[in-house]
Amino acid sequence: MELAAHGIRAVLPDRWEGVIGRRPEAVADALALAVGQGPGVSGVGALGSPDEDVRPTVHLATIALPADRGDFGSGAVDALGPDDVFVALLEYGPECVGTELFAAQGIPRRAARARFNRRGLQNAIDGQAGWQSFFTAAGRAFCLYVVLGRDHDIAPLVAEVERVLAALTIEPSS
Amino acid sequence: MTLALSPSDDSLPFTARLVHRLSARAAERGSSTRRGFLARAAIVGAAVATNPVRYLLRPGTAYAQVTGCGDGNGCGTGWTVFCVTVAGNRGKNTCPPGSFAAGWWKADNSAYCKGRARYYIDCNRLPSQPGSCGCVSCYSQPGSCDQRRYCCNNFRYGQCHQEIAGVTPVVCRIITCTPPWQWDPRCTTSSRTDNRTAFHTAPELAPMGASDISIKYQDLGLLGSRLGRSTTSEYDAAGGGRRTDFEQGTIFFRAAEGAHEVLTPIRDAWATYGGPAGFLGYPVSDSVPVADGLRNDFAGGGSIGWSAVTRAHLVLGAIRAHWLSLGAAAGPLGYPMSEEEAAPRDGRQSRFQNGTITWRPDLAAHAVSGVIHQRWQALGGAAGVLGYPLTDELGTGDTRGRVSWFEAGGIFATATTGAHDVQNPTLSAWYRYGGPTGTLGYPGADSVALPEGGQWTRFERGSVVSRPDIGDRVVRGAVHVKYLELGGPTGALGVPVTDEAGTGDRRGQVSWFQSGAIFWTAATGAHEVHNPILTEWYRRGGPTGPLGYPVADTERPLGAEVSRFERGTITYDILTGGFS
Repeated sequence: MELAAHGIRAVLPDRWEGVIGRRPEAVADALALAVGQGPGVSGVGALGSPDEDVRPTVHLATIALPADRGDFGSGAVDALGPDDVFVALLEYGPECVGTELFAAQGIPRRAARARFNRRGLQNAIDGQAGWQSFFTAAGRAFCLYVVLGRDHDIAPLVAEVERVLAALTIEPSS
Repeated sequence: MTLALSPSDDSLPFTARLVHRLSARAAERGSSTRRGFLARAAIVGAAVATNPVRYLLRPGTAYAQVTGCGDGNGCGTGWTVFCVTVAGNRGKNTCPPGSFAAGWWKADNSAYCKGRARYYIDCNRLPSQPGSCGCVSCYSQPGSCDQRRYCCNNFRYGQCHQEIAGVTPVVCRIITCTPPWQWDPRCTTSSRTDNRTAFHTAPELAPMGASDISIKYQDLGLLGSRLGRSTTSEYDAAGGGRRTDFEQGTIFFRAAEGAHEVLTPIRDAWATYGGPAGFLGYPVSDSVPVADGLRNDFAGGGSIGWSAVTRAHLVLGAIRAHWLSLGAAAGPLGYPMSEEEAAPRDGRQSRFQNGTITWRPDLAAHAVSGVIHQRWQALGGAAGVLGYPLTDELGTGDTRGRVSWFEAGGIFATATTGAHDVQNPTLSAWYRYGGPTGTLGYPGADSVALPEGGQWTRFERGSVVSRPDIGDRVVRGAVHVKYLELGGPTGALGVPVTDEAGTGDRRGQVSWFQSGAIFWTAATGAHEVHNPILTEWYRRGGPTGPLGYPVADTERPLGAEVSRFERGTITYDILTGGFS
């Protein structure tokens, strides 16, 4: 299966599924005002602030992705079995390019086993291991986050992740 | 908000109607207990109105979702503890020492933030302090239900302090209803959402349905804020608002202005103007800290700036608007040193630490600051010879200088020359020679009033002498150096009566003065020739005659004056009046 949107392309092996999308943007104070709260914190509405920079998020997994999931996969990672994998690729705004955090260049294609750690998780779930990497590719800033459904004997899962990363491409912003 | 109204009542907010419909369906399915709770529990009214789907579909009791520590607070749930829970940071909704705000996410439509987004900011361990925290997977503090993980999850959201590389453990989490990039300018706006954390909380944080003042206090850091502890409950304030007093200030709220912090030094000054019932009205900003001071803006169009050095002063109207546009206390002017005061010819002015802003009905507000301000003040400010500023400080077109223009001239400044005024009509003569980037360069000294009227302005490579009877005369280059050596306009030569001109032989230049002249050639340099030798020399042909150009300044042996030329000497006998 192939996914392509927002200048990001992923080719998925069998048993994988994924989505490339963006969350809806906030619309001023309109909704907050609509629920009768009046003005409060400047420019903040029910879906955040219109100032928020909502960028593409890529979720790839060996499970069916639930609709209600966090950007770093909460809701999805809870459903991982020991043979499952979840990959999130999240874009950051152009102001992040060139900063220390995003200094690494290029998509990290190698997911070395030693990098995976039970503590490397947004939300620690027993038996899982995670790895996170910030980088810049095609002039765009990203974070790659990978969760493995088990924290031992992970070589086959890592190899599968590397196959997905090898086929991942990012184009410059248009 | 009541849930007893008709779900089709269009005057109800959408979410309230949705709750009504969902609860009705739940009742049809036999969930009468839940519907009953919805109908009765006032405590969750706002929460339900703003999180209807989540509330109705999520397991667990409603009470657990709105009190205590909310979801996922037990040992082994995998989430990180809140900073208000952390020992040594207890009650402070701020990053503990040794940690930094490393990133954020939000939960939409949060009842904890009056239906707006609620923001979660991770405080990660500073990479420079690797030993400062060890993982505690079940954080236990006396009296706290927040038993989430401490310093365990090696994870980063990544929108804040991107100048710090790497991923370190999350020490704890901060909660705000204020967007993180407003809370800390080092956070970016790249949005991340995780609604599954919507009901994570701690007892010290603002609960669902909290007042605007409680939310503001939370966002300011609770006990980690500058306000300290509350000293009163929330109570009515003048003009239809509400207030809560704290050890170091007050939070005021009114629907039109929102909730804002006013720290004590400004609150006390504001009170002298009537406080919220006075012409300044309610605050529309928090106490903005800059350097050693604070500033609050008020709905009535005024700002009060305070610092330990300047104390508190009010800035108003056009002068205030201009001060704010220049960065207020963080700009070149600093804090106000005075209340607004009358200035000459129907103007107004406010004095600041590093300058003054003036305003007059026919002139916009303009600021004068720094070394230019010092010179302007020395000349009497708006009441002095230069009058009111016509501009703020501007560049001069090169990378060296700055200028402020006034009604009667300009003050020019560079790092090497300092700040000096150039007044009309000297100004126009100087600009004939290119102004600051021209032949004469920047003014190198202040203008000097001449004894017989007029003024003398020295520049880096010349002088302009202005007097009604001689006009505006320019002396420059080597001739100028010699002129200064001889005392300038107050020396033996007096004021120039011409600009520098050629001598007609393509070799030399000459400037004529009241009592003589200075001649220059590349071979001889610049030298003076005085009357009466000057007249005699010209009788003998002048510079293009047999004697040629002067090679020395006038010598004055006893009873005589001597001028030496390239091919001879003229001696004037003072006693006899004869030449040899």
